[in-house]
Amino acid sequence: MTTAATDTSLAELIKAKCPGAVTGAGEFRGETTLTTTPENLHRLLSTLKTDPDLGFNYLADIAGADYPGRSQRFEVNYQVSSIPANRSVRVKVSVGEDEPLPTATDVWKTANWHEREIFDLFGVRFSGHPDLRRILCPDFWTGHPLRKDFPLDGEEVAFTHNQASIVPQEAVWKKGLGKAEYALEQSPADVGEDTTMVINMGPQHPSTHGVLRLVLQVDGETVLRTIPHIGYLHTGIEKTAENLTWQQAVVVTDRMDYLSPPTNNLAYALAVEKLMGIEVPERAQDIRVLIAELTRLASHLIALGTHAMELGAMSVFFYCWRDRELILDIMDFLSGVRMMTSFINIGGVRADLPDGFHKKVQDFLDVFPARVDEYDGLLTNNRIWEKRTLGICVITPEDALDYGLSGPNIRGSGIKWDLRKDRPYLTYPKYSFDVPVGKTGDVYDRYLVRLEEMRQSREICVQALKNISPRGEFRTADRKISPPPKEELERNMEALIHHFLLYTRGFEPPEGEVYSTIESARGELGIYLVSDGSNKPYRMHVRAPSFVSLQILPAICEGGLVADVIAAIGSLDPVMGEVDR
Amino acid sequence: MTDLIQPIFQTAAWVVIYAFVPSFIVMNAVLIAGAFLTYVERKVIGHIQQRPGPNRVGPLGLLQPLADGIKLLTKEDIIPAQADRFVFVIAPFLSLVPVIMAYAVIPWGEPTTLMGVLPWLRVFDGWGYIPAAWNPFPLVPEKATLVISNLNIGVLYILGMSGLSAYGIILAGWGSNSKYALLGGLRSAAQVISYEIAMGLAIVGTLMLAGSLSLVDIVRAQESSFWYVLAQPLGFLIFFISGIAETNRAPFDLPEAESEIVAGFHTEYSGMRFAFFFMAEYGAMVIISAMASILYLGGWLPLQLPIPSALPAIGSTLAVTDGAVRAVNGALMAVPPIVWMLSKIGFFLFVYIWLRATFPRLRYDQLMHLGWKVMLPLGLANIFVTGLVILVKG
Repeated sequence: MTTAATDTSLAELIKAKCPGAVTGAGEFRGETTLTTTPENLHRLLSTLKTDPDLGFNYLADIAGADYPGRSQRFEVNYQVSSIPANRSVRVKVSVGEDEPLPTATDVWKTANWHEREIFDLFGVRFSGHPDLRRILCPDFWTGHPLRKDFPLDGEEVAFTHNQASIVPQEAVWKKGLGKAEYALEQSPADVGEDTTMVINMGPQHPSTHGVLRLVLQVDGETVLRTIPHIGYLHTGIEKTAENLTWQQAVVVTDRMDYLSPPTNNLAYALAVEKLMGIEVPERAQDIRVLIAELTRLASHLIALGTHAMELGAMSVFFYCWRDRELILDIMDFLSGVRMMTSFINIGGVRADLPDGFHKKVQDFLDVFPARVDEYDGLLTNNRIWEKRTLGICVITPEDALDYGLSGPNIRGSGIKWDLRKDRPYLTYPKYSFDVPVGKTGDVYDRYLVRLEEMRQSREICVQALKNISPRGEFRTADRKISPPPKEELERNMEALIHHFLLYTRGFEPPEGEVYSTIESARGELGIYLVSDGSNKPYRMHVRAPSFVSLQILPAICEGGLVADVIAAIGSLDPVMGEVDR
Repeated sequence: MTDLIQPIFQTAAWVVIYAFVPSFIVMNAVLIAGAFLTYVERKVIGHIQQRPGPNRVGPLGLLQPLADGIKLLTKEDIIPAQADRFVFVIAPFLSLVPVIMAYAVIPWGEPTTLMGVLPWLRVFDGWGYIPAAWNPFPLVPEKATLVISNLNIGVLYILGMSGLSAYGIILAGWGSNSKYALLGGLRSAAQVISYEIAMGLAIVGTLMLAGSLSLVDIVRAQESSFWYVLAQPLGFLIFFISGIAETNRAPFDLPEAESEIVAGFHTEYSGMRFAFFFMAEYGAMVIISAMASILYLGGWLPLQLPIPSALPAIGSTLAVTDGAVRAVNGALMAVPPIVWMLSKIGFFLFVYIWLRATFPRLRYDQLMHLGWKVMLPLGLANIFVTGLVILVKG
């Protein structure tokens, strides 16, 4: 992480490069925030990207926020990073309700879906956006859910006294679905319509990893266009979190990336800790590292298994599932829950390790290398597997950056960018591990990267397990954040007060905003938090790596065959729970 | 009156004895075996994938096929509103019937008296109830080859039948009026045509060696020489790989690749109509396995080890005596021919299942590439080399 001193000079540098565009610069918890106006926004963003001294080639996230009291009620935050220089800056712009913002899609392609999301959930319009439609809510939805004045109760329930005044939702849905949802949104451009066929793949399809829907325009088996539709699993996690206390919101994060819930907890906990400036004991951090890496293994196992199954290698799927089960058993042993553990909590982890934990994990780590070799043997040099994946759906490094890919997807394209190394968090610097990268960026490389990452994660687990003593500190001693132990409650009045306050009101972080990132199994999982000093998050936004990486799908599928679309989805490894949130 | 009815009765009895009874036995055996093949497949794949497979219905789950059958029979028969009804209804039959018909020429074993039953039947007078002139039992042959019809163009007939069954799949894809089904049907059409050619070419080598198109004669030819897998290893490989493609099995199961086109041509089918396609697929698997056994592994012939002293080059280095090998050969001889035939078929079926559990699926264009650019030239080369060898050896 860059120090405060260089950040101040960075702000000065940007001001000099783009005169008049930056109206203010702030600094909080080591993050630089530049404020600008809608008129200057586009100029500032393109300078940030194109200027050789700045080189902010990576748009990580765009997060909206709603402040109804202000004259310009919406705030849009661009998280911009420079990958070779490893520095980042937040560009903040305020915009009124009817004011359009210039689009950033011509600067970074990844801005496309982010802007659609903000349009959908806040109603901010982006002028010049190529395809400004709703993305998470259905096209016929009324209102913008993340606005603070959007009714929490959702639709009104019809009773006999009010049923005349309520439009039944069923009618709205029927009317909406009657629209051209199933057709292509834009007319086919330069292909003769008579030779093409439109296939609706999903949301109920065996290989779309959940409820992803793709509208494919095919000529025979050749895919001419792919239009992804998402939002079928939109559960309003961000909105829900804004209405829970800081501590309670941990539980909803579990439900985002349901293949690696502890990592979501970790991202959120780290963000809150950054916001509050909490120091977590080293042992607790080591435990977190161990859990995060076990989770990465579980997630990669599913990624590999489903990917293989979709390409027809059915047995690999079952083998992967078998091994993931061992990890879930460990999670069960640790927390009592197989998947939605909520074990990683603000201030540390929820409880100390159970007796026999070390042995259970060690047993798993002992058998695991042979298992990875088994997958390696079944697939890596398999001629059919090579034929299906080598040179298929290539993502060039330039595209990978432009589309904001992260995790194994960007590393598959040969860009060595791993937040565990590049923006170290927890105690990762203590551990030695390699970051595998691919060469060509095809499906095969992404597969190899994940396979090697499993071996490396296991190495981290082995080291972490040695570091963790069976008993010790597992959460911060700060009684404002972590509840006092049971024995203390019976003797200590102050402990009782802390306990009472913590469980009735929660804690109140200082005012401010942070954007905290971790390397989840799928890439950069970022949490943008705004605190207004109350006991609930004012705004929680999640930069979901799958949401971002799924966006590249149409670009890499074009010109391929239908079977390649399946290979591409499998290699991008999206989890719809995280995409739709 | 009697003069008129008696010959009609005799003819009918002849038809029953020579056509109906064997057909009835074979057809039912095939359908039941096909049903149990689904059980075996699930069990084998289950064990390969470290799970138990079906084990709830009956001992070891053995009644699972029965339960499946009842389920499929009682399922609602859905015909999509937009489907071409006639084509949709007829397609499953077109798919299954040719497969069953192909069994007519598969020989299962040597001419046999069926453990003395046939000679006994020949002299059976119906306990005196049937007038001697009407008695159909003397029509029963003394020894019967276990084949419904020893057609002199048996190989051609089977190729024709397996080609016909592709119509069922194509029509199912077309008649369903569904995009996934259509894609599956198209894939299947292309696939079957491509691999039929490679398969036909692979067989030609064997036919040149045997000098006959009759499956019985081909086995006989191997009895007097050696199993043709030794002479035609390449042809054998091409035949078996093409056979897998021909029956739409993994790793060539593109017409029903569930991860791409849901269930392919039978996406819209349910209940018994769906089961027909399933039976056709498993029936075709058995046909290909039987063909592979007959053409390359000597059909019902028992495995015979070479006598060490007859192998001049390495015979003296082997640690076994002629007597021991002869004893083993004698024991192998004692196994009934039909058991040999069935175990060879079983071996190939196992390979089918094994492949399915192991390999990823090829892509459509790669499959075509393999068929036309690899299998076809290799098949032609095989014919050429075989012809050359026959020419040189006279």
